[in-house]
Amino acid sequence: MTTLLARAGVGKLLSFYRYFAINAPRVTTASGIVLLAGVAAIRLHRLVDGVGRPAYLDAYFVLVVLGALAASAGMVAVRAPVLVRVGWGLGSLVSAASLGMYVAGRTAGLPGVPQLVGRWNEPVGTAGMVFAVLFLVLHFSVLTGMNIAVPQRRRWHS
Amino acid sequence: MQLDFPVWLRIEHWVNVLFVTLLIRSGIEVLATHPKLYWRNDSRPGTEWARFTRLDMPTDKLYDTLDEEESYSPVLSLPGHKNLGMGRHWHFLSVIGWIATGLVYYVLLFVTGQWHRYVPYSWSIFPTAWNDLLTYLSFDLPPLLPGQPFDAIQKLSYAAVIFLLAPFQILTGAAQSPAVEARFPRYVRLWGGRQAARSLHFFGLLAFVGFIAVHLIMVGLWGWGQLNALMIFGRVRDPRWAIAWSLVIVAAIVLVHVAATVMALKRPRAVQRVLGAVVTGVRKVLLRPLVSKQDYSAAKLSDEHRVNGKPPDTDHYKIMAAHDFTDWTLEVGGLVRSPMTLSLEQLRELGEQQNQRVLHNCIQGWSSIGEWGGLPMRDLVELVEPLPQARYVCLLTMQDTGRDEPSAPGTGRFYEVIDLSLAWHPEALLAYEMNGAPLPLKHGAPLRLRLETQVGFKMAKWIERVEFVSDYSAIGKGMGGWREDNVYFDKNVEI
Repeated sequence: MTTLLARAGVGKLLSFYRYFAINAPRVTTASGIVLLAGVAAIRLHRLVDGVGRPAYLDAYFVLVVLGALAASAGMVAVRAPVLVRVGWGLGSLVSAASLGMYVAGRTAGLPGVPQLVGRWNEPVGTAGMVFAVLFLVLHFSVLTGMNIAVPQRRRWHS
Repeated sequence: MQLDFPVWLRIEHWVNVLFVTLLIRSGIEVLATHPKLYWRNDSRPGTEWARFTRLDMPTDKLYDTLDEEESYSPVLSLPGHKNLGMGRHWHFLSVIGWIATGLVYYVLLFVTGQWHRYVPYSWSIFPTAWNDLLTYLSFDLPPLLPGQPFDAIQKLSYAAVIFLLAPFQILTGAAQSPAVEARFPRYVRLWGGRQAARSLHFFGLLAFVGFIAVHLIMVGLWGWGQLNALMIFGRVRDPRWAIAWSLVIVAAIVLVHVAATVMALKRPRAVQRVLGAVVTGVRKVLLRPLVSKQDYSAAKLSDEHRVNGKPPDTDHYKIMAAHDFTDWTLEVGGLVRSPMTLSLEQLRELGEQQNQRVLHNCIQGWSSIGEWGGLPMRDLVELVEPLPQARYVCLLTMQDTGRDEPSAPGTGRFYEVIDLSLAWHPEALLAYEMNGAPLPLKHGAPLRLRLETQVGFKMAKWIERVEFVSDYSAIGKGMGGWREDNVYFDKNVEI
């Protein structure tokens, strides 16, 4: 299998990311927090927009906002690297959940809100998807080492 | 004013596509030779904010910046496979073509009144553009501006690319020219320094790539056939023909890229001669008249200087170095009335030592600031009295590239040829000191050239002979220097 992948050039393609290494941990962390803030702000807006909806959706919005806040707090806890990793992980969880709920609501449908199915023409919702996807991409880049986040440091000697 | 698609605009569009894509690919080749980006002038190892390489340098032995070169695929870069010389030829030729295209475009835009399609003249365009953005986020298409070919956000985007991004790329590119930096040091500082200009130029590249991606998506969303019909025929009759022709044009552009890549890889000497002739002509007019006026403060001196090239690996050189080069001599001859042989001591006593604090530009893109002390070239030239037929100065070194630089693509004694006119420049220097101390071995001890309007490889290190000649076609492979002979660089390198 490995030989097959190598011959097909898949391995080379997958390892392409190794050509990229950015040394801007503060910018990475700040970008992550801004993206999470975007995801949370859109749910906060939903919470206070006065539109009637099932209680579980309000609870979900609260969870997203609290999750984004907790994730952001963890991402800057530079004295505890474990918390930083948990923060980024929680951020990805929040982003993936918000993305999943948004897409599910507009495709399969969610209980109590069938009217959302097929309703893609919401700029705020699209922006929320963009923020969530960008956060997931950013976290992926941190996990692969293309980017680093605080308190990580590059130890380049050359 | 009808904002249609006149013939000149259509031709300019497709010519621009060709030049921009050539610029992007050749630019990636230029980046590959030192795939690291910095903010500070000293390019100190480890301080880069980004690197695009998998190579890691050894900690237990001397490496130079040639070892840091990355080999990119020809699919991505022009021509790929560590061909900085070829990449530069294509980049600069494309720059000339692109700027010429742009100037004609600007003139015609304003002469014909077509500037209305890009230049916003009402603040109301901003709220309209915001509404357009919301419409796109709703997966819908916004209305076009009345009587215009674009919606508001498209108009603003095109205006930003044409009137801001394009000049930005030209200006940050110029800020990387050693001749411009030497003559206008403040201009470079305006961008935050040489390396900041390089980094900003890279962001400009990303912006162009992003713009092209969004532009293509927009053309696809609004109707590939319709818009290509306008951009090819000037009107919409049969979009199917437009789709077919758009594919033909794209195929032709791809063909040019393939031909440029294959030519650069298979016949680099021909490319060097033909493209070099065009680029050198423009360079001599625009950049050759610039004379260095640098005088950086002592506080700006770099703590560390990268090295390009390795010292002569011979017992003779090592013994001379162990004796502080008291046995070393410099021969000055060729087409001169008074040939001479000078020891280091005699060279020091020949004239008053000149010191200069200047920015060093390697052709690979890294830089540093150093203080160099030595004998002005003009003093030596006056002393040896060149004959009227002398037009060039050939600097022969003790470095044998095959022996000292095994990874280099070529062998033989390292030499460089400069125009005699450059030797008269006020900061053309035969340097025997660096930062107030004798020149270090790795930086060319006992003697190296400093030529502040040129990139670093022209400043030959480990010099042992200076020859005045009327022609250089019989020296080496006849291209004006070891690097010109073996890696196809230009002889004149003010950028």
